[in-house]
Amino acid sequence: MHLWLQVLVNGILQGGILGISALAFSLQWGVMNLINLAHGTFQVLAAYLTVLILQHLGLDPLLAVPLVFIIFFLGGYLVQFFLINRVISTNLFMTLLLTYGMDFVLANLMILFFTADYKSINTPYANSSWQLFGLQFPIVRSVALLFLIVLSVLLWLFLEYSRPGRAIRATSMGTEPARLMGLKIPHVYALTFALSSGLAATGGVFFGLSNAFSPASGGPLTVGAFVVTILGGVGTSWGPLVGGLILGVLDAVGSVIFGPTYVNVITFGLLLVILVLRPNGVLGRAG
Amino acid sequence: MKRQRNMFLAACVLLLALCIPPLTNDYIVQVGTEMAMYAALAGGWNLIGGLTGYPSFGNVAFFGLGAMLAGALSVNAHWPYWLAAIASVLGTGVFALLLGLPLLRLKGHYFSIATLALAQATLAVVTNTKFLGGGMGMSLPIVGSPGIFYYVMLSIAVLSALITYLLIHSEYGNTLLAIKSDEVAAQAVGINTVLAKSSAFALSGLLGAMAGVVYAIWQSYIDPPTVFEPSITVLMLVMTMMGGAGTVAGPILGAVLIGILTQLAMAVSQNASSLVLGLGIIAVVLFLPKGIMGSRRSGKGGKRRGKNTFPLRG
Amino acid sequence: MLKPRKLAKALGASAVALTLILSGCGTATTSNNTSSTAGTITIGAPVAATGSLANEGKLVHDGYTLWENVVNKQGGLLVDGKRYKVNINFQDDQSVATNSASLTEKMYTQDNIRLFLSPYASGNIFSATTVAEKHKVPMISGGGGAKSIFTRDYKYVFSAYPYSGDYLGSVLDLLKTQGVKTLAFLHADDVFSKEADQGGEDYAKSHGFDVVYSAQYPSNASDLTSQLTQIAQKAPDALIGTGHFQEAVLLVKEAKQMNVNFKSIAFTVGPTMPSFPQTLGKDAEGILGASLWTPDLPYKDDIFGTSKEYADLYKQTFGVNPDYHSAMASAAAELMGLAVQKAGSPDPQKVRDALAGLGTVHLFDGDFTIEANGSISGLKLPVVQIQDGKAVTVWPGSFSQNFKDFPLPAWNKR
Repeated sequence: MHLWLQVLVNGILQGGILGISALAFSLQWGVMNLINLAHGTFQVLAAYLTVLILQHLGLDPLLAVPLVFIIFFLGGYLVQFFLINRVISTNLFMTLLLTYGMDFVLANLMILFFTADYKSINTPYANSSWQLFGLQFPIVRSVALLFLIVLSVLLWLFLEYSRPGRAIRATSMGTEPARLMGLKIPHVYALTFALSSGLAATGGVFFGLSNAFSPASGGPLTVGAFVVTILGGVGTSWGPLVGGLILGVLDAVGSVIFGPTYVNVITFGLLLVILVLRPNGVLGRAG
Repeated sequence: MKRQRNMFLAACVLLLALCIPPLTNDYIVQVGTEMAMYAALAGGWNLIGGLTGYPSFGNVAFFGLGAMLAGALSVNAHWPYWLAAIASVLGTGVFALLLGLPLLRLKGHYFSIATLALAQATLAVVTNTKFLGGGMGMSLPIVGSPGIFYYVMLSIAVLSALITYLLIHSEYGNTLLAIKSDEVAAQAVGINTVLAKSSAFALSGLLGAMAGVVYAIWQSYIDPPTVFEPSITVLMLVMTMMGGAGTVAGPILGAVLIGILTQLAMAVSQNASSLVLGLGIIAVVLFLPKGIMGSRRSGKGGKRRGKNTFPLRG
Repeated sequence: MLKPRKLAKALGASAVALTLILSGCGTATTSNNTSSTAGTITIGAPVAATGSLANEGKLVHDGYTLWENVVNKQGGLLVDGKRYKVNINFQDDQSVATNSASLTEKMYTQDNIRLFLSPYASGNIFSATTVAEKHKVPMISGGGGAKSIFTRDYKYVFSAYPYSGDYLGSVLDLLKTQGVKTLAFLHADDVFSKEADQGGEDYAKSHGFDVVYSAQYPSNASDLTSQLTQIAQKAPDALIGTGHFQEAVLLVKEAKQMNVNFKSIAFTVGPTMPSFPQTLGKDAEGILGASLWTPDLPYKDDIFGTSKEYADLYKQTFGVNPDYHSAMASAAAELMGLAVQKAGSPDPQKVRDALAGLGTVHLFDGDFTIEANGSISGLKLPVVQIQDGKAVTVWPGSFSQNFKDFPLPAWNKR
């Protein structure tokens, strides 16, 4: 009994890590129909940035989150405005190609600047946990889940009630009506990418706290975000949370029942079944 | 007239390609073999992704399954390789056909993610199946010469281009185009879209498996992480988009261009060749945003303006 | 539908470009190549500088380079009474196996290189060695030792690495002396990890250990907490992890988070690399690593001197301490040098025969014998333990005096 409770907790907490990584991916996809293949590498870059901040400014990674968020927000705005916007109106797949190229460039620039050595964000609490009812709650994972919940709420409030948020939502329904409403689409897109870059970076900090990483670690993160986004439904504020929890719990329970080597069979097999039965995700409208 | 000139050109290019082994050296033949392999793979992707408008992210599943199945049948079941190859290609084709039926009900990005899941699940199953090498990979005997593999890969690439050409200029091609531009309307006028889509997917799988079985014996060692590498799918897509989706020559052009870029990058830089490759891809996207051939057959699926597929809900 | 003129231009241009560019860079590189005529022996090495293997690729690259530097500083390789400069031609395979093969082909065909050192990682070695075997030129592995590389009856493939399945023997011998009885094994699903784990489990069972848990996880796993929870229920004395660096770090982090304690923890990959203690801080203390070489070993040779001197020179050249990846690569390069000297010429066939006939050699990394299939045997593998942030040799023989922290203190007592 205790085993299963702990496994359930493990799954839920892994869901937090997975979900926080998918927030940005889901937003870009939902608003701009943009699948960002450089998503995972953005997160790895954020993890490196956090290491630098910790080393040079001595700022705790969790306190550094706002700073990392702002840096990525600004960087993301520029990348979208000057690079992605140039092709986003031409063809759906050209943006895919562009982000593929960006992924290559970013990952290899990181090798040049940070070497290919493995790093990890090391703080006293990174490997510690809280104990409750005889169950272990790793601090970083628990905080990640809290962050994910708070960010999901904030994102929902922002999109629902703020002016720029409503502009983003209007644009996601179609660029023509948005233009007629007097919105400057390139800026709305840039704002969206800026926001999602900041969110991606936040996820990157937690990834760096819970894993060792090298410049090549981005690929699996992108695939993970892809899966979580679909499970939760594209373009919803709650999707990443729901998708993350489902995937996390499923992996944890499945890996204990069938052995960890079958985790991917379970994850992707189930994903196929869900997609065929409910093509718009668990939260989405039925197929 | 136009058609004749195209034919003439195609013949010239083919003749040039045929002359590569006797006129150049083994290295260029090796690179040529890889380009031909990717041209075949991208051509296969083009059938489902370019012509039909179903952006598959999992075509590497067919390549990988083809390679591993052929390897296992020849190494573990001691079949002669030609027989193992045929069985593997047919088996993979059936696999694609059967999985296409449920998967092709999905649209757009949902189809993408489903095919990505398909590839990952296939990789996981192969890794856990003892008969298929169980993650240890398989060694095949060294046979043939570089020239032979080049010609075989080239034939598959030509076959893939030929299939695309015949499809485009047939009733069936119009069906696929109809599916791409408006599937509901196509169904309304009585087109059996399920059959059309599934057979395009199966053809795509057949071509992938063919490239896979030749790759296995050409490289003489295969293991699941290498032959199921997700970036192989991404390359098929990148090459097709770069050359021009939905065209006959697009995938070939893309494969040749990426092939040259890769080799150039490795020649120019010893420690940052991937960086050069990435910059090259970005440059192509910025300066040729419609692909080299232009996206002439693009239906609604390829356009971004207008209404979005996923209205954002708070 | 298709615009014929555009098609024509594009196809024609790319075909011309293909031939021009490829033959173009071919002549460019060949003209630089002055092998044998000007007294230079060129050795090709398709080693990853970018991509997912860039980290270990760099270590292998530096290992090869150090040999090149030292030999040239000593005036070159003395072959048949004449001094030859050595030159290692590195090419970045971008961590992609097919590139390892095509670059080997390129160096053979266009650069006229006839001697090769391998890339890093078993998959890439498989691809590259196939090309070497086809052209009947020797390639020595300085980047991995999967047994299946050597069960193919190849005649031109040699190695400086022991079989992956032998890695864990020394660790288990050490644990045996401490009275460890029950073991849990966790391993990744790639060739190297599977071979190493299988070898380790077989050795454990035949040496009186009790394997109470064994599981395989997919490479790049990002969460193993539930496996640790399961293992905790079996309460084994020691955890043996066989996977990649990031998974070793993940297991330590999560073992602490889940408060799962062991008397001992050992990994095949991880603890030997300087980034392991850097990454984990004091949580890395006391953890064992199966190693292939350490600077403390009592071996020496004419090129590098003692193991210690090798390590000092490496540190002086590259600014970091070497781990076994670099040492093994240097040993592979050294084997190539020995073979060329014994053959009396850089002729590939003669070098191949010399390699096959080297028998037992004594290098700075140890004494070992070249087997008929090209692999090596007899290398005594050391074990390291992280002590005060450094990897200290604690096995074999009298090094065991250095061994401490047994049983490992509980995570919350650190």
